[in-house]
Amino acid sequence: MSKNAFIELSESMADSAERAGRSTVMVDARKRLPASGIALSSDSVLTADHVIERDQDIRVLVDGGVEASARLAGRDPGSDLAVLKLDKSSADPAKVSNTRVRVGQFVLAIARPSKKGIESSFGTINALGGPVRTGRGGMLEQYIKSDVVSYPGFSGGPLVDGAGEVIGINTSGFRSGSAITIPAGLALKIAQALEKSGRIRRGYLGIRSQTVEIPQEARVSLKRDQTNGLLIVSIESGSPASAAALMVGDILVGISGEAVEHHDELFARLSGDVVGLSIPVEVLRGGKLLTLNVVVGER
Amino acid sequence: MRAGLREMLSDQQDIRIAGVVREAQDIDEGETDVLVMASVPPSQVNRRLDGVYGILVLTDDPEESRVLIQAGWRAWGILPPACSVDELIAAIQAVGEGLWVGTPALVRGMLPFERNMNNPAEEMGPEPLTSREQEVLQRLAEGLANKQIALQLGISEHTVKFHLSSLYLKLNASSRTEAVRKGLNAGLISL
Repeated sequence: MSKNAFIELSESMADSAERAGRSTVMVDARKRLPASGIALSSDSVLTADHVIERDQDIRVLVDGGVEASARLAGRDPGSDLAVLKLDKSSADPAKVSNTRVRVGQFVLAIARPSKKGIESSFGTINALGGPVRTGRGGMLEQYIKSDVVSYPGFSGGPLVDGAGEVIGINTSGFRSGSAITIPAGLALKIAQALEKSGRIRRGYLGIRSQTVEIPQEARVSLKRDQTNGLLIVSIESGSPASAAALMVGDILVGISGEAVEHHDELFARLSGDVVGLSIPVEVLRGGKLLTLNVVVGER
Repeated sequence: MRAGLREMLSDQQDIRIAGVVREAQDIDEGETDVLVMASVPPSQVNRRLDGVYGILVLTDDPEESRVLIQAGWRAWGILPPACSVDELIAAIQAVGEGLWVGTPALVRGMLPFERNMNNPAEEMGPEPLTSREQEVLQRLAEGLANKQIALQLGISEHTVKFHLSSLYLKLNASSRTEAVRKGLNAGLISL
């Protein structure tokens, strides 16, 4: 690579950091070091739930040095996201990237953990994946893994691409000392729900189950290549599963036409979008495939 | 991990970070009371560290506690990497006082008075969870932090941690993720 190309690369990364920095804010909501946040609009900020350690006296510092008071509009510990509302419209909304995120691309983690200004860390995207059970025990539908260093105060800040546009929000809240990025699309969907309802709705059937191998002879009726299902071992009284006549001993194998082989997949299917809806649940009963419509409850 | 540990300990008045090193040979024995190892297993520390009083290892592998005992450390601790700030600080202080410390799941197999695996009581399966433990486990599966669990159940955070310790013991888990996985597979969590 020529010397000029290195300089060009360096300058364009600095430009990206500067661009992203305009919508990266400082979030002061805990006793120790402040963390970062991303301005969603002029008066709302998305940050990591775990950095919000108090309900009162939350301060946000935007680019340019303007400080605002903020209140907690909604939070979801399961996804480690929280939305803050500012008392004055002072933030510069972030630009979200609409280009495909790819393994190997260069990225920058941007943060504003102090009044001194933005900080950054360079890396590449190592992996894209999900759903994954986090270190806290909850479930993250999708994630981006990169090798940026998440320094203290980087949680809640954006991961940006070469154009300085947001591809995700960084957090170390799932596992101490190790960071992960929640993709922008998922994060924004959760943010909208938090702004609207203050929390995330999660679907609920009311069953307890164990992963089992589907008997060979029963797989024929499935007409798809599926090895496992969830054997229902208990149904809560008065639950949606009970109302739909699911029975102990049924093997749950699919929801809305999609295979369910493990608990994580069932968890992912029971998102807030399906609460109150009647969805087709496929079970094997006595070796035969049955489809029962279940009105999904809310946890 | 090193940056995270530094942040977790930065506010503590009675704990001073003497140094952060990548290699065992860079450890300054004269300045170090308690060695906290986050990314290098103790089995890879080949030299004697006579000047270091105690060692605390962050790992999910219970076998590392066997290494610590065999290495003859006078004071040692073992915690999962996902431990809380309070647990980390308590463990450093305990090791600094000359104690052995660790989560039940990581140390139980190393203790000489551990129940014999052929004990008929063991063969009956894991001890049932109390209704409160079930409630805590259910909320663990939703990804709630201890503070949120405490608020929802109307109990203190301290009590939540007490129930968590019991859950880890009964499910033979060393982390929240493992407890949830085992709880799901055992049909203990409702979805």
